[in-house]
Amino acid sequence: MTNSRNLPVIGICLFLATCIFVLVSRFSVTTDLGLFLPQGQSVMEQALMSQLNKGASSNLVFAAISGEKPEELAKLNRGLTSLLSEDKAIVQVLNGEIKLSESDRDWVMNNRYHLTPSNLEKRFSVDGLKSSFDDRLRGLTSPLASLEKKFLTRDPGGEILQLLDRWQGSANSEVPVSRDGIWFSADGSRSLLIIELKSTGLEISSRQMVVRRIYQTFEGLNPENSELVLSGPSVFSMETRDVITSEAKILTLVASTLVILFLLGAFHSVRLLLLTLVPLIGGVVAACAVVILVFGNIHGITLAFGVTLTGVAVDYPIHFFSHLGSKKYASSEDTIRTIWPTLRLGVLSTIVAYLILTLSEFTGLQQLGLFTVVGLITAAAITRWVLPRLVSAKLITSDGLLFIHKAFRFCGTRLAGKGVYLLVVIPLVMASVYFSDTPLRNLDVDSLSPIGQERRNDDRQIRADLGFWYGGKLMLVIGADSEAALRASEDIREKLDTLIEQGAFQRYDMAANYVPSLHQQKQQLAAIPDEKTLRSRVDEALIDSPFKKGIFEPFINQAIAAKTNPLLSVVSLQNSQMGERLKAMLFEQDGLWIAPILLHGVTDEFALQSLNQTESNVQVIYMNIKAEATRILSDSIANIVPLLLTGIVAIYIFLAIGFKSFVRPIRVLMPTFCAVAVTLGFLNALGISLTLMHLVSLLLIVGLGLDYALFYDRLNHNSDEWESTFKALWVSSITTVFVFGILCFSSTPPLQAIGVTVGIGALMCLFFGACWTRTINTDTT
Amino acid sequence: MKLCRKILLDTTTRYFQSVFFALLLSSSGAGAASDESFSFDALMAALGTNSAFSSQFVETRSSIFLSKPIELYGTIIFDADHAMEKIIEKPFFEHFIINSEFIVVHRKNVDGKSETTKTIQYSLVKYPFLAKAISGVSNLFAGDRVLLDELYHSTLSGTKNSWKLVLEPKDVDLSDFISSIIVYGSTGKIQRIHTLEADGDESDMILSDRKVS
Repeated sequence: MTNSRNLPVIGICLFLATCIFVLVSRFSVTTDLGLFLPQGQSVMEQALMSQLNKGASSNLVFAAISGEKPEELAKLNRGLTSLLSEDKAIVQVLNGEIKLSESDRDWVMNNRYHLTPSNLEKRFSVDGLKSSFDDRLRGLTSPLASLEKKFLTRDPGGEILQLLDRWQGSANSEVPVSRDGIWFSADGSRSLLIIELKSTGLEISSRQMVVRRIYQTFEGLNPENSELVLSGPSVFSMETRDVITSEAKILTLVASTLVILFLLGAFHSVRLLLLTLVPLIGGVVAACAVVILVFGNIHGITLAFGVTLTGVAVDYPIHFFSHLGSKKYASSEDTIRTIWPTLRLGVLSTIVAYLILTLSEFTGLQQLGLFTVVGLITAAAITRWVLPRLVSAKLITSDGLLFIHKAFRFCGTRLAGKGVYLLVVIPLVMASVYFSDTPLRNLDVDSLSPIGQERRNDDRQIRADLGFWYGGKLMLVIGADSEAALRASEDIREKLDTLIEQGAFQRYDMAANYVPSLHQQKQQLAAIPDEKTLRSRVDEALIDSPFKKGIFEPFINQAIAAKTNPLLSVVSLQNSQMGERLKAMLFEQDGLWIAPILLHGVTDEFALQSLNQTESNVQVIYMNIKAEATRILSDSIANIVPLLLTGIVAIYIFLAIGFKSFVRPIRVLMPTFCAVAVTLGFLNALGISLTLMHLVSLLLIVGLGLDYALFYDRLNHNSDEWESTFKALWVSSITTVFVFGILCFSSTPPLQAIGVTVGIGALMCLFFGACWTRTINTDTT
Repeated sequence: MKLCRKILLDTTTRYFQSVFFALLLSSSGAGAASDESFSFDALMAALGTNSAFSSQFVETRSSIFLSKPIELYGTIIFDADHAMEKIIEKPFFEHFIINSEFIVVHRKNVDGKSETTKTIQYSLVKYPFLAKAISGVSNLFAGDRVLLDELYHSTLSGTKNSWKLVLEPKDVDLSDFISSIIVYGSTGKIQRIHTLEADGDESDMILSDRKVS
């Protein structure tokens, strides 16, 4: 007997010990936000999104200083730049010019005929040479003569300057504007700089330290009225982490203080209060461990949300303790055995609701689903088998917070049996939602981002000021190898130029602008004539020219030498600094090579789509990443709807079997349905459109609603335990409102969404649950 | 043969030019005694009055890259905002707009019958020595001594009506490519600017038909 009673306890303890072991040895939290974005339909899209996010700009911090006159801003900019340049974790700070290193410049110069976009056939004709020499003569007589002289004898065609302009980013952009050598936004209100962090050997945390140091350095300059705004991947990951950790700390502190005070008031026992937390803590430990075992890591958001969602588990011991106080049962074991069937039904039906999460397409939500399921099962098991061994009925007082109890009972008795009338409310709510100006759903992927709208605008603004591509629209050129991708990019160039002329977009950037395909390089080199021909052409072009004979000897020699220089392949560049720049613009993914063409200022998406093509070894696709992500998001939500319906049917069947009745489950489901509908109406009236996080929260309300409704249902059948059951209900719902209501004050949009929804929802569940009870025992003390 | 004659002709022209200037200088030198008090400050003050002007110019440009000097004809305009325009009309068309931040080049190519224009903008930020050289010239035109002193050692000789100002760069950026600039003029009127570059190239610009704007 004793043995069989001990078995579950031993089992639970062993399980928890294993979980703790897993946590200690393998605990790893990721903050990769991608997990909470919908997974792309294809691996390709995902890869692309992560490449673009992690690629060339991941080491860059964009900065804007504003709030003062331009001269003042320029001064601050210079000060900040010179101080930051000494930081060892910073590669370089650019604030007026992108400069190539000496070796990179040499590389560009030495390979100018491989790299140049000029038509070399024309360039090396007698007319072409004549016009080059004429240009040089003009240059020599201009105020810029001193610059001309530098490359005059070796590069009369001007390829070097053209290429350097291209590589240094000044060729194809009108922004940023330079004032006194410092970058500014076009209106002069923001002074700009780009800070490049070291890419290797920098952990996320130390990168965040650097970002913090940038702010501190700026403060050290006594900026008075001016303000420094930073953006970029490193900055955002720091902020997300900071906000989530700091808010988690404050909100958890406030919520737990409230809950502790409240529970102390309700039960008058510190021991019970602590024991209330045991199932929750056990559940969280187990949930963490299992998620890590299954997924390899746990996302920071899963952890935060999971702990919150598992918060329902606090209700389990509350039910138990409230009933323990009724003195009706001989022992704590008796008490738990009496309420266990109800509790078990509640847990199982909640789990059915949460299991839906694991079927979604978001890794983050899958983690969340698994987390809550494991957490709730463990918590319920602890409540059932462990807690009864730790408490006795003597501990409990039934008259804690009597005034609240009386108030709730007063309302409850008046609401009982009114559920059917309140059904009228439902069509009204539905109608108001339907006719409301507020759209029901918000499928904007940005709404899932923990980075606020304001910060996203900052980022967009600074990138636009700097002329950086700020995401969204691009052409994907996919080829069987890098050569195919480059050639296809080159082929599409002419069409893109035409579209620019027609005003479909403003400009583009592609890998082939920096490193042409081998085919193109070969063609260019073949256009350089042999030495004898070149010499005679140069001589012919120089007739009547004031240039000295023979001064273009370096040009002839270098052009001839270039003919035999090796071609530049992407592979040969891979380990160079130039290759580093190209990584995000040409990369391999699952055996295919992808060359994104970044588009700026797109106004006519349709025109760009018309460039899509699919051939045997090359594919060109226009992509609007955000629209694509939104489409995937709405698809996955559409997928959730049938899952949800299945879930409801499953819960019904569950309950029907549990109750051995077809009608009783409806009585349980009805309040939940009403609570969800009215919560929806409330949100809509508040002008909130439902994001994915609201939808998740509605699922939590389903869980809560079922739990409450099942205990309310007990009232109908065991009217003698009215007091204790009713107390359990208001204690747990107020606890829930405290825990989740606090999240309303979070500045992280997804957390706030959950807070508002669940805060309202928990109260609605209590309200409608009361409405749907049938009999009320008025024989109370 | 043709070339030889050309060079000969050219040298002769230059010879006469310098003789002409020598005469010009000596003739005005006659009045030297009467206004010995013409100081650098007085020159600057004279240059500073009615500093906005336009002039025709003939510039003789010689270079180590060229077999013979090339002559350019055109107009130079200096406005009250210290912005300069240099318009070359012969032997080709080229229009420069020069301020402290940019040089904008409008280039016209007459290629057979068709005419193409091209505009290129150069930011002077990238070329500090150019920025300094240009601000030196504009400060000279405007009669602003402060920056001129910062960039150059100046030696003034001659008289009020025929002065010669030799500017030698103090600044390292400048001295790397300019050896000296010799400016000739009469009171507030600059008549000739002769620039000797560090690599041996020269520009000799003679201004005439000055109009105050």
